[in-house]
Amino acid sequence: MAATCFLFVAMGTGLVTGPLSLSPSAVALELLSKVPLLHVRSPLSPTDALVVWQLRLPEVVLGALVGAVLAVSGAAYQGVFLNPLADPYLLGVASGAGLGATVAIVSGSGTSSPFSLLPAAAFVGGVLAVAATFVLSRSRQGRSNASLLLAGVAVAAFFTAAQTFLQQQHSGLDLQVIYTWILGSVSTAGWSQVLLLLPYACLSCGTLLAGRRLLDTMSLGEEEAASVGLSVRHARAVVIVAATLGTAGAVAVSGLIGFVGIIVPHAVRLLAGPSYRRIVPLSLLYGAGFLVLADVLARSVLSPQVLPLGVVTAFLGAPFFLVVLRRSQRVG
Amino acid sequence: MRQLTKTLLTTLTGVACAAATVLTVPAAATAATPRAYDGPGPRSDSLPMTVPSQGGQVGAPARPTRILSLSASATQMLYVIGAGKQVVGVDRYSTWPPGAPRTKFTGGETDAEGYLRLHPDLVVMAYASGTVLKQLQLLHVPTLVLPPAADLAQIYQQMDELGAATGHAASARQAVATLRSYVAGEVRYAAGAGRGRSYFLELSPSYYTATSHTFVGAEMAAFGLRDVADPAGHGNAYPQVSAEFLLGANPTYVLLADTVCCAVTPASFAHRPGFAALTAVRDHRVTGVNDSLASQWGPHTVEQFTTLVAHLLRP
Amino acid sequence: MLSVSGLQVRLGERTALAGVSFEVGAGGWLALIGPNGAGKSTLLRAVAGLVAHRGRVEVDGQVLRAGRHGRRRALAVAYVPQRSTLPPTMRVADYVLLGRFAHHSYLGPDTALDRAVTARLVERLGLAELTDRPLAQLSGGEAQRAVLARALAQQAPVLLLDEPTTSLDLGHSQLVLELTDELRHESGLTVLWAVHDLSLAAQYADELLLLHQGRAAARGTARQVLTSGNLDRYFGARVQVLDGASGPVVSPVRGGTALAAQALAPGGARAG
Repeated sequence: MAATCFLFVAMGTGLVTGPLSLSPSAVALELLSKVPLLHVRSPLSPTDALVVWQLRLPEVVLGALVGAVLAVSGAAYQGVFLNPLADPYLLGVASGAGLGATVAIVSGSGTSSPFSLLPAAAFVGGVLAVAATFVLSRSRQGRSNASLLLAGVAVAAFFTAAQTFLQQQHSGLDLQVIYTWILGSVSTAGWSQVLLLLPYACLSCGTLLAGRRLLDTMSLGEEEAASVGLSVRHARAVVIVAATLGTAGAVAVSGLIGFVGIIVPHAVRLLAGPSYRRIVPLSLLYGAGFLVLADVLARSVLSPQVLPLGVVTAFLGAPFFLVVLRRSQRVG
Repeated sequence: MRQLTKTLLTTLTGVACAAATVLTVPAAATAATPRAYDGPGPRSDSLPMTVPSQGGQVGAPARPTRILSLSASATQMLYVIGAGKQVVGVDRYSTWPPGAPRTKFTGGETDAEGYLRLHPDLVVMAYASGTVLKQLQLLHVPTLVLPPAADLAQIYQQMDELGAATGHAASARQAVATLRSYVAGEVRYAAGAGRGRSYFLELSPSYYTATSHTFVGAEMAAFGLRDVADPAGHGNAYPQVSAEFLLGANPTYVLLADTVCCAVTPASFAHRPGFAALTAVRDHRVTGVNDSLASQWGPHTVEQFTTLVAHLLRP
Repeated sequence: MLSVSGLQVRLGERTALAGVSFEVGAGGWLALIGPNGAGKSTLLRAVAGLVAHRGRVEVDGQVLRAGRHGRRRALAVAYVPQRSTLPPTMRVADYVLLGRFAHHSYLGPDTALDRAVTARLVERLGLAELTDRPLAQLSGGEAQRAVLARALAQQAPVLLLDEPTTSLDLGHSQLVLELTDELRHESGLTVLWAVHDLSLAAQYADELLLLHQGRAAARGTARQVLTSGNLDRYFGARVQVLDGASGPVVSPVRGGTALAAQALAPGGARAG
């Protein structure tokens, strides 16, 4: 309940914050004017109304979707790997998507729309990187969490190297575009980005919400989980696929936004205890609200300049992360 | 387990392909947007790009009265072609002309809402993220993107383009002719002194440079100078080379366009290991220039730069 | 009813079980005894479907397929391992609920039935006051009851217990075993119990199955199996079998062979 309120307050704040000063009541009336049968007249000019409907609202919704996906995926990864430091980028999504984005920008430079292929390329890159990690992690003893993590490190290093090589080969204007993308942003124009992410966000969050009991059961370890009827390998694959699709979709439309996947689930753990039955749904709501608020900060701190969203989340996230780390050391 | 891996891979690949299809559709739609405005003269496909306003008809009103220029080069062009009175804002890097209404904007914003405070009826930019372009389109603000020119012809073309977009076509043609003859005059002054000689243009101390396939390289090439970085380009107009490469290439002239950003001076350049052996160092042909000379392609900068080069070649 | 025939397990190069067959009727309690390495734990793990095996395992006439340790297996057999993984921060109620995994759909929610079953078991095993405690804060006896509750929540007709009382003192051992005994009489639960303590085995189980080197060496009531001859031959132990009120009591005799000392040392001698 508190989490839902938090999300709505965050989204409301997002809607009334921007370089153009539109009063909260005017924005509210504008929103209500689109509700049929209410016959509310909007006080906003047509351009201001466009700003609300085509810039701010989609940005707030995109921020909420990205935040929800990252937080839920982060919680899921922490559950699967029984590791509090796991984040959604653990298995190489970020580096793969980075390479995909770089390829799209580099190969599209000079054409009329170097940006339009970026989401697709980033998504495919991210998914391929995780698939590569999964294949490479298989050793003679099967696939353990440790081998998955190590393969993830190797794949990330390889994809990052390839990305750096391409960037170095195509310096100039491309660099700035890649750089901007890497730093993360949920700035959007109209609803197309939201529509791109929506199916993956629903699939990913839906699966992880429904399967949150898998995460609790997995904490029994492979053998006891099997004895209550859960194949850890199978569940791990389900969770990783779901989290990867969501994360790759989020990365594709918003670049790399660090720390949301770590700090939100941990904050929720402190609030609501260790069971994923509660962590997953609460992470969804708080993650969405947190990213919307971070975006408000990014847009307003140095307005009209917009700070990269990844910078804001890391700036808030790093100190918080250290606190969590100290706490867990004291307890452990 | 193998079966599972296989299933997983098939699923992932399938989803990835499906996603690629889905994600590409809007891209195709964007690409298919009709070009609203076709400037005079031959044009490469990449230059310039306009975003249509309502109904996708015409890029800009016949004579926009509130122009926002987020490119220092475009700002110069606007004032040179006589559209200065229509300009209501320029980015913080537009240093010429001194009286232009400077704003805090960098042109690198990721969100266009702030631009609306100036109520522009034409936005001119050099780089634009896809998001900002689409936002301006959604807000019905006509936008002209004039990316860094690759040669002198593109500079002239961009000036014509701006002339047509702002209702100053005739004076733009005039300004182009003036700039052409100015450059020709400087080349005449150098009297062929550049022919057969080579140069290196340093954009950063880590040896980023520009080949002759850039506006600044084209300005040098007008004097018959050869860019030592050309073989290192491999299709990249702004490649990174190394100290060793530079020692091997041993150019006649060195231009340092990193004096502002990175405080490089001809003296500090000469002190780099082994550089005392460079012909350019021995003959005192290492010159520091303002960084903006290599990063702006407006008519004012082109005049400054060609004058500087002419006097380097024939002191 | 649990019926096992020709059960074979190879662990690497070693044959851990070389064809074991037995049956236990509904509500029956069979204790698996034998020296270390005889295959008691392996047998339980094979029945639970946790190790690859050959041979037939049937529960109530239904054959459990080898290698499919899925939800169907969990509905047929519940398993309490020698050492349970207890996620330290997990609450007791959430932990017991995990036993219901096989009862709802893979991604489905917990049902009212799940919660009712769990609540009843928590009550039954005396954990009602502890439901909100993290597992790390439980005593050994409380933790073992929580594990038992989780296994019973599976509502499987067969319960496999692997040394569930090893780390418990005598009083708590008896508590857990008495509870198991009551439950099997109430609900016709079939219990298969791997145990070191021969006297405890004699007291609680209907019958004993003596395993030796992966084979069934003897089967019968405690009086039939726990003879000093058997114990000497298969355990290498010198013992005295006394006649107690509720079954034979095994008492070690000093001056046993070196083998006897060796055989008994790791688990510790456990005369009751």
